[in-house]
Amino acid sequence: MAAASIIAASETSYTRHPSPSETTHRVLARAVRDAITQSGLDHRQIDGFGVCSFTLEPDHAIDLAWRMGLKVRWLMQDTNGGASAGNLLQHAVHAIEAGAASAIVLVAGDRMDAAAFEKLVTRYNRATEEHLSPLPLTGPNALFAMLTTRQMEERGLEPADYGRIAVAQRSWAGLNPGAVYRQPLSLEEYFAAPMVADPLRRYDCVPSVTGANAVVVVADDRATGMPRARVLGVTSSFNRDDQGGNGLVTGVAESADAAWQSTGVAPSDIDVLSVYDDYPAMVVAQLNDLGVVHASDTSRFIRERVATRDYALNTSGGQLSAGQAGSAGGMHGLVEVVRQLRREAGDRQAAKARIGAVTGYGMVLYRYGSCGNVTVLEAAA
Amino acid sequence: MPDASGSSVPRPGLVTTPLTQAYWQAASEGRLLLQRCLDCGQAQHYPRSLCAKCWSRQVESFDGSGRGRIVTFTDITMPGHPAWLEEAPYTIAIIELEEGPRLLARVDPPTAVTVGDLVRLANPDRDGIHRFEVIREG
Ligand SMILES: [Zn+2]
Repeated sequence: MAAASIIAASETSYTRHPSPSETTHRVLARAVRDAITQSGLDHRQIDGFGVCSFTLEPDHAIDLAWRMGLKVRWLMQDTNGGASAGNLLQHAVHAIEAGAASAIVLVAGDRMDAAAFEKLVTRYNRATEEHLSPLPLTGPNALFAMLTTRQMEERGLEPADYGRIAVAQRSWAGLNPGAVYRQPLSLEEYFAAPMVADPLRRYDCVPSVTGANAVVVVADDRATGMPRARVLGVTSSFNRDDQGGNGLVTGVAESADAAWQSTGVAPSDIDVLSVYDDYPAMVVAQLNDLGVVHASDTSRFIRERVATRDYALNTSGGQLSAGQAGSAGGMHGLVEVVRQLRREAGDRQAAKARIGAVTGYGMVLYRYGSCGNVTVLEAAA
Repeated sequence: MPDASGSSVPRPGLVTTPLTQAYWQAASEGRLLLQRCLDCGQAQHYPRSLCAKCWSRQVESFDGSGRGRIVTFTDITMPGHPAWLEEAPYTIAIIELEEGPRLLARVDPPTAVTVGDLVRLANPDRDGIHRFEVIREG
């Protein structure tokens, strides 16, 4: 029996180059306001607030709540980047179950210009600052280049398999007015793009954007009759292997096992899926971790189900084409699945959209992401 | 403002904490400091205040052999930070050390590395950072 539902999901416009007057506060506040308006609630009815933002410093959640005039009895700040949306949602559902709050707004986003991006990649954490940046190894591209190479060897994939994922997501983006890159991309163009860190080329790497996403979560019995995404389960895994493995299996694996067990949903029940796509290789890893496709069958699945867009995967275009708005990366996929379940996805609406799943992945500690989570949602009205 | 290298973008500098000071001092002298747990024998990189395996606080530093094997690598053509553009292309690899731990490091010669290559610690780079070189047969 689901206790909580998402009744609104917003995304500000994403921009590659923010105007000088844009600030992290403003973009977060815009997403919050849009989500609350969409929910039909008044901001005075919101009694819980959670935020994740890399660029909010020196401010914290309370500063943002104060600036927006949100008076709440539940407040949370999450620091887990690509895993933040799932983590915030997991705690929000628990808060609603426990009666600590009844209407919670969650937001994630950043003003991400060149300076903010450089600071983020050189000072992401102590290990990056001390042990990676000076190598010089700045930013995650090189780490995921090595991971992609290992994955190709272990799972018998070829560069074109990754290209097909990038190309398919660009096709989905063509149907999403909010995506920053919407013009079609061919496999030839994918291969002709400059190499970044072998074997990663330009279109394997997410474009950094400024923007924010937000959702409104309420007790399910308050939402009767509203088109909504009922939260069937949120499960998480942190630091599964001390960065001592090869990174090809993520925390999504344990999270998925727990999710299928606790919700009774099977991977084959999923109608729409957002997988955290910082790189095509991580799309592959998580499709395998979720149990959507067996590792040995991945190449066929990409050719027959992903490339054809027969499978509703990352239907917004994902971060690869819609853009990565800093720490909103994880919430972007959640917003897209909620839109699909509420049948608000316009030209890219999946015909069947009853069960949705979203993964979160992130926080590279030394070699690969250390956090993973799975959210399972069900359409209700 | 240009830094010592003449680049217009400052290179991200070396940052140390009390826990890693000796490690980076050793690096600048061409040594690779590892830690060994006196209780369970586990070797670990990089320096920590406890053994990550058994949680013993009895860990001691020792000079690693500096020898290892390339597990995987990438040739970087577009670095994540503009200060490193002048260095590209260069090679970063995951190296499995003889003692067990894996570390990330730069390997020379650039773009001429293959998986399985044996490597050894070379002279540090101009910033005093570890650098490895491939051991060629014969
Ligand atoms: Zn020990």
